[in-house]
Amino acid sequence: MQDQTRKPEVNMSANRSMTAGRPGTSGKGGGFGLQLRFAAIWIALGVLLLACAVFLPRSVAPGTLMSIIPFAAFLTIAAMGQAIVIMGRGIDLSVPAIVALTCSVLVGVSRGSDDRLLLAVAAALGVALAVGLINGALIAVLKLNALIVTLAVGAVTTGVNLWYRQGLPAEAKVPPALADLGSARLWGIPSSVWLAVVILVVITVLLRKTVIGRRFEAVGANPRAAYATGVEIMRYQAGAYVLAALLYGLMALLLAGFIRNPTQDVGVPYLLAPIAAAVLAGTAINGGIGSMVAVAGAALFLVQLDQSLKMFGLPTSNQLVLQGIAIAAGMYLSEWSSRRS
Amino acid sequence: MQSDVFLKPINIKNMLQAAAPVGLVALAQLHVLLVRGLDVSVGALMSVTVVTASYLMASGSPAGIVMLGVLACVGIGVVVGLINGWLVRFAHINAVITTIAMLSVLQGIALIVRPTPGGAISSDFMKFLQVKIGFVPVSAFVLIAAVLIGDWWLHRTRSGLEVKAIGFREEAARRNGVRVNRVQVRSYILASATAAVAGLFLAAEVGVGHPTIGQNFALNSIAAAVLGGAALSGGRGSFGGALFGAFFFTLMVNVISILGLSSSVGVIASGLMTLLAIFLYSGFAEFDRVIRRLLGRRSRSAPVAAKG
Repeated sequence: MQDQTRKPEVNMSANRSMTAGRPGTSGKGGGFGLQLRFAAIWIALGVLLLACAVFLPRSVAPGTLMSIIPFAAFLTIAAMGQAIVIMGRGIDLSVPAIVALTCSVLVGVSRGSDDRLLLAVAAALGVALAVGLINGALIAVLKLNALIVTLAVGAVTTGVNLWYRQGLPAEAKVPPALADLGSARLWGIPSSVWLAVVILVVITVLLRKTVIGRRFEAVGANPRAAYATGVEIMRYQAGAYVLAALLYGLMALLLAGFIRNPTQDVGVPYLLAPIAAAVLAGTAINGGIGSMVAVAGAALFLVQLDQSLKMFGLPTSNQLVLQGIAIAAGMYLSEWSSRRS
Repeated sequence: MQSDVFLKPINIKNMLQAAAPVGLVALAQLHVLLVRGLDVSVGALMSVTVVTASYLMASGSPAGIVMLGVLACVGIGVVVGLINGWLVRFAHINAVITTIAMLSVLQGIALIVRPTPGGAISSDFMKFLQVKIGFVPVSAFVLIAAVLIGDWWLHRTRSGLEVKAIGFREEAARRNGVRVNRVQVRSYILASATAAVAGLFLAAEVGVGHPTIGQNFALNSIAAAVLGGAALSGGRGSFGGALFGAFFFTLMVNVISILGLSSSVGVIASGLMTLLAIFLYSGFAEFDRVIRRLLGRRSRSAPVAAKG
């Protein structure tokens, strides 16, 4: 993000967080402060569920929870992508555009038939990856401002989607097999939740236990130091956007299977909510620090909050206001805790 | 390809009228770009202004009420700018994150107040902002005046110099006795207040309280300012340039619609234009370096050193 174009001296905060108990520097598990940072959102989720149970028992009834949990899974997957980008010192505002275009390509290529499902899935994910690659190349290789690049690439992607949609029948549906998968359950738990859990585990292992993951965290925490130790920082910075785009694409496929006939506004809620979830999960904008488990907690928190607002009879747009406040407050707390330690 | 509409007074009038909101919001964005900030919330603020106008200056309101409504809208802008500036400078939250949070809050408020477009805006107010001298709308004169005053302030006064100094090197400015926090917060306030005025012009153009009308203005404002020579790294830029950038954008949209191309072409073109603008102004050196490296000639400066 902006830091990329800025002078080294204003990047001191990065060095601070480097010495402030990152898992990479203080051995296994990280310091107590770091654990608290990621545990905070689960505590907040517990408090929220407790408050809901007391004041609005309907909102924590098993039926209600089961109906919202797919949305928490979608948000978790998208927010993991956003969190990875933020860990690499970026931001991604092209999420709604990628989600919408992925859905359109899926619907357009498959033409609603199961025979072409695999081809359609490959094409849809390919398009998502291509957009991510463009983001990554412009930001990591040309060192352009992440916010502006992703906004602009998002605009181009939206335009391409509008154009592509003109050639599609208005009531185009996803193939039945994908729709079945979207509503399928295994041991009573929706398929989207299983997929979210699998992705979560894979990315957590990737970040915490592999060389690639550790190097990625190092690049996010302090790109200059990482460069000095011989890490190809560009690859990791660009890779973050590509991996994130893959996650948005996967989420879009699940979402398309869930709602069956995705419109072109299908991605709109995913502009701000993933950022809110990533920030609430304690992901540091100075880079390098982030936990996918905490991201899942934050996604559950936001979805449950949304649900309880609805059940209180408040307009859903309140969610946007709360998300905004959550982004600012979460960021403030995260800054404050980095500065203190 | 020739067009028999393009240079007609009516088209020029429409274009100048359409340039007013884009131009003003580009000037707004420049205020924060100069101090090395970025404000993504300007578009949502314009939506809030339009929605507010649809309530406070509903059609048929007397002139006094309309005046109060205008003041209220600018007041909202000042408060939003104050909050943005305070969060960035005193709560030490990254400018991008702060203004994204503000974008969310403002968009939410606009949608709570008006879930769907509705509410006619006073036609007297609309006529007043669209008064023409010959075929030139009065908003064009407002823009030019704003640019002249802005550039005089930026390049000829002490306080303008302070703004540029902070953008170039904040620490040096501080050591030379510039009250950095005050100037920074002032820049955020000026930006939001200007964006609110842009919102009023937008309200005069659309005539109804549309809750998401401002959505695309954040990108356009940044693109226009950057096309006009503003540096994202702060300290460089001019109000005249930002206005030219905005006018260029309006021209592009106008030409696309005159050629009868679909709206998707307009969206793609504005995105590409933005990418081109930041590429030309801040990516070209990097591009050169990458090309050199691909050609196998070793570049003398280390990649990280070139980042600064």
